[in-house]
Amino acid sequence: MTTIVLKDVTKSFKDHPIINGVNLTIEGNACTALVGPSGCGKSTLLRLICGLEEPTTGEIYVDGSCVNRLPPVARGIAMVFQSYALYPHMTVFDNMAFALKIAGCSKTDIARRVQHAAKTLKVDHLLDRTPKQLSGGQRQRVAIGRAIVRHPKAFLFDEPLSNLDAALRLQMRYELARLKAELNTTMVYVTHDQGEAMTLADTIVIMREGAIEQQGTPLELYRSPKNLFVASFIGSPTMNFLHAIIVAWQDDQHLNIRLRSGETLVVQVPYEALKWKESLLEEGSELTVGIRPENLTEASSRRKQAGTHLKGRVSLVENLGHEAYVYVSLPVGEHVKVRLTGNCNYAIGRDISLFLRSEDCHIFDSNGEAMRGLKEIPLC
Amino acid sequence: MQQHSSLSKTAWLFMTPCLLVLFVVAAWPLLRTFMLSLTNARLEDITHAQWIGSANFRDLFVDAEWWGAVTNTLLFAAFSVPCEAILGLMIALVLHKTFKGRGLLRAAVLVPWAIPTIVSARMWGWMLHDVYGIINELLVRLGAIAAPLPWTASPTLSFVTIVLVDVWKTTPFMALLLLAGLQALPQDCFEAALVDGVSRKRIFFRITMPLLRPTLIIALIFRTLDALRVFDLVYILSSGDSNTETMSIYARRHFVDYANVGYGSAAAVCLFFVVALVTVFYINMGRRNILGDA
Repeated sequence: MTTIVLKDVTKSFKDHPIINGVNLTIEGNACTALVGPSGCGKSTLLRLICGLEEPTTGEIYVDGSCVNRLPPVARGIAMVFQSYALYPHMTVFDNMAFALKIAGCSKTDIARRVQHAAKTLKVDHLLDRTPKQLSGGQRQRVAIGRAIVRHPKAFLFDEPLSNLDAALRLQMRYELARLKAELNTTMVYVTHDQGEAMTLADTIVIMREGAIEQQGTPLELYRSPKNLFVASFIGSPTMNFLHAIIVAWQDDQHLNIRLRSGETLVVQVPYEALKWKESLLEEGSELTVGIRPENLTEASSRRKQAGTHLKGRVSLVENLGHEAYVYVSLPVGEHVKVRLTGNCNYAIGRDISLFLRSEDCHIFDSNGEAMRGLKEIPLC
Repeated sequence: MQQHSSLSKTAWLFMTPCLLVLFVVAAWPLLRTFMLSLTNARLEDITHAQWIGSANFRDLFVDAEWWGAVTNTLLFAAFSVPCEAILGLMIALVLHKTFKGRGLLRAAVLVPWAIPTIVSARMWGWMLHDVYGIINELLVRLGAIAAPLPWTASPTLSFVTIVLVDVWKTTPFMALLLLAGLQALPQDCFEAALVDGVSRKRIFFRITMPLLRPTLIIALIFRTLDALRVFDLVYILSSGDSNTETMSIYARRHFVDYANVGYGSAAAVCLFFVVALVTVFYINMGRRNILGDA
């Protein structure tokens, strides 16, 4: 059970800051995903943990001891590279055995460990081939195998699936999940694909511009994104955002707001907790209302539902068979995506009335900070 | 089918200028040399040559001077090419690192290669002159040698001198080829090796060298062929000295000085076959690497 702790870590390349003071605890025996857009510093953070880069300031601890000055191998951490980084002139067996040979393991021990890893990863029939003779998925497995044989304290994965095609990526994602359960070791996984992070990770760390935006379990991030950035990053398709203004405080728990389209809704916001940024909470202040595509439904014409209705026109339909993503243009120039199931025959240009419940809405102040989470939503 | 044949007609049409040029500058001179080598042609009157079969070759094969030239050429290649490869690799490894002034150093390293051989050979000839040369002067003043050395006159020493000057001149070429090879190597492999805990020495022998082998073999082929054909450097540094005479100098001597075109051509043909043989050997040795890793 290896815990990795990063304390005030910064990294600059020639005065160009990449990591701006990261404090992070990576729990043992769990998979932590570092996610963020390209250039947010997630891969650099992984390389810092691995020891391929040295932090400009700050400390990195593995199991409580500072490893800043230790070379990669002394940290007992294995890394799987995005490009696999297999040695092209060695066979699969030698690729997996190389680190063990260097470490001075006995021949029988090496053979046993490589065979075991190869079986686990279903590459035991490929041991005599060179990387050239393997497909992308097989190379990926060998790269993982090379990490496994060392029995490291922790695994680092740098976008391991991004070089694979879509079908193979899903399959490898499933196998990584299986492997994660089997190995039960600390894993750090870098990806820009929030779907991968949601399905594989126990904890997700969202990064932007070299700093951590939010850290939590996948569902925590999904339900209670701390700000607009996290809200727009997690979830596919992305959350819809609508402009609104504060009409009045009903009481210290409830806020009356008006959408740009004129509809009003009452949202529960704990005023006490937000008092410190009073100026943002005055009447007339701008807000952003976030609503996920699956929380919008087509308003039933037969029965009247209590809540807010949005009227718009279908502008695009992505029909996936079992469900459809319907893009609706609202008269005020805003657009929303709706996930609809069942009968998915929506003609483009058709008028549609959407229904939303105020308890499903994420409310962000004019700085983009969330004013409440949605923890109380029951799991479906 | 018709389309295919018209396509191939077009292809031949496009190839014609290239084939013509190749025929004029390569195939025809080669063929002519082969033909001349079987005659008793003289430089004064090539047109009235008589067919004498393999007589030139028979004479050549019993000429001790010819075998001396063959030995000299092979020795020259055997000493200069490995020296250039090792030095070139060392320089390439240094230039591959990032440091201040690397661009300038890369350019500076190329200077010996950029100077025409005839100029650099003459320059070294002066510097190594046994009476007026600066090298002898410096070495004597430093006390490294007691008396001036006959750098280009003594049989063994002149051979060493020729190899050293060739190494000076050609190492940059080797370094440049190997540097290009080094820069094309996959960087992530080296990072993976660091994570695997491989020491720098082992990284060099187990990863850098095997991956660089195809480039190294190509560089060796280039250099060996050049070394076997060596002419200008030896001709200028120790002209007329049979102790350092190479195959091409031997061929030129008989062809031009003795005006014996037939015999000189026979020597040239033999040189051609030696070079061809060595090339075949190298390509066979490197086939797995060059073709395998392409």
